[in-house]
Amino acid sequence: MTSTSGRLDGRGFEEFRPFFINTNVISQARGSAYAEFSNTKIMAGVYGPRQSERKFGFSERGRLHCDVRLAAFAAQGLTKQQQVTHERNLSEALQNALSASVQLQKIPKSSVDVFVMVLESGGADLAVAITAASVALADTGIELFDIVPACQVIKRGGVIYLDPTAAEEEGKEASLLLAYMPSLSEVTQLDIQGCWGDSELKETIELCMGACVQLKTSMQDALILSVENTKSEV
Amino acid sequence: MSQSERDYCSRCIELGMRLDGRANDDYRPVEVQLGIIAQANGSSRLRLGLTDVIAGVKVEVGRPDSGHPDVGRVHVTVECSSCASPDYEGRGGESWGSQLAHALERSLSPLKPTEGYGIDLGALNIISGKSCWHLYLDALVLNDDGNVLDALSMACYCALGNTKIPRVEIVAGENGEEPEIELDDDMDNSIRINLHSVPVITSVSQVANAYAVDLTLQEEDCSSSTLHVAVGSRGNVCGVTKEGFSSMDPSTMVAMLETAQRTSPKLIRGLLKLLDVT
Repeated sequence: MTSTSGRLDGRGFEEFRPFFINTNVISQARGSAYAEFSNTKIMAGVYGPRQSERKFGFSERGRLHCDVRLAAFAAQGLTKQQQVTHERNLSEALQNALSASVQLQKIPKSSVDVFVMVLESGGADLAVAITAASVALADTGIELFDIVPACQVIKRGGVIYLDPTAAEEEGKEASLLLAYMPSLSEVTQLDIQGCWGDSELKETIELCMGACVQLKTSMQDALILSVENTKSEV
Repeated sequence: MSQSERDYCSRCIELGMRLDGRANDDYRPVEVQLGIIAQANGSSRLRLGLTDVIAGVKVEVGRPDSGHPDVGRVHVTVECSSCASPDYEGRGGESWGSQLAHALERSLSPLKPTEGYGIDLGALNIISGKSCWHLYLDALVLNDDGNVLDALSMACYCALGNTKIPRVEIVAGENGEEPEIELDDDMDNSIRINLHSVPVITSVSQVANAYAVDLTLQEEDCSSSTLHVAVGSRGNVCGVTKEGFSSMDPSTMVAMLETAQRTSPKLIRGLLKLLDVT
């Protein structure tokens, strides 16, 4: 997977893939975003705040509900059951990552629904999903504490790769996902698989936090561009 | 729990004096019974305080995964019986059970079969590409008084230590036929599972400004977020999942990981002593 000089696509080991993020892509949704990191294509739509269903009763804090689905053509080699389990795990992880960023105490008795669709699974899916969903949430105008960039790192042959492609993820020995709110300096999601040495783990967490700060500027640029476009339309 | 009870409980943990007198990094007393299910290849019942779980292991010969032809496979399922908690009725118990099973399977089944953690899948191989042992680990939650995942992880560890896998004899086929497998029925002459790289999950929860391990059900009500850390006997981190809707300060997060790395090896040593006695 690596030539002596670097990765197959010529990136540095600590470089993101070429990516872009667009907002306001779903007209029906209150807020939406589309994120494309090379072959990983993810769409997120947010509906709400809207009245919570009766079964949830009164709540002083609003509720955030996340649902991640993989398109049938998104990934190969997954059986129906594996896909359902995978989607459920992704939804759970996304909810944990985003909940801390929304000012739910400002929207009592309401629900915010985040729907994410993975159109193509090209590597680091969950990280891109969290990024896209966070931009979509910001696009709605709901009050947030901060937007949540997320990045994924894998270890292969003892080497750390940031933002892996699906091919690079194939033979991974270990992986680490971090979702981080840069303004508050708080971690909203941490997911580690495989064996990590102590200092290696700390260095990788630092690396991910730095990468998230970098990613946040691009997320903000996408949101600012969207506001400028709306202004010019008006 | 009322708001005042929650505040009192959080305050106690912040001061390092919990409601039952433990320190923030103390586990409740652990009681283990081994080999309680006669039909299973290995089993254990573990009580962590009042949390009660049963784990059973069954092994079956099956086909290996096409991607990994010379290693065995591990399947984990967790059932949260409705009698354990009113929250487990119907769908609630199912989804919670599958989350627990996912967390356990991640800690026991390594990403790459030759990696240094989890169950040694290579030892479960019989004939490369044709047959291997499938290990079915089924756990049942009988009573939930908090920290179910840790209790399940320790119960699975004990059940694996208690497991006896029949010895296999490969008989060469006649006239170029497929080789046949013969299982040795003598259980005294069985293979045991090597536990040296199997991790145990320690859950460290953040409560107000402090963090603690092994929360009771009451204390879990006050916690904002939890890190479930799978740590091996050498104190190496093998997996982490975060649960809970709150965020964590990075330095607190690292301190929580370090706490888990200190507590898990102690638990593993204790469990190994129990397994040796039997």
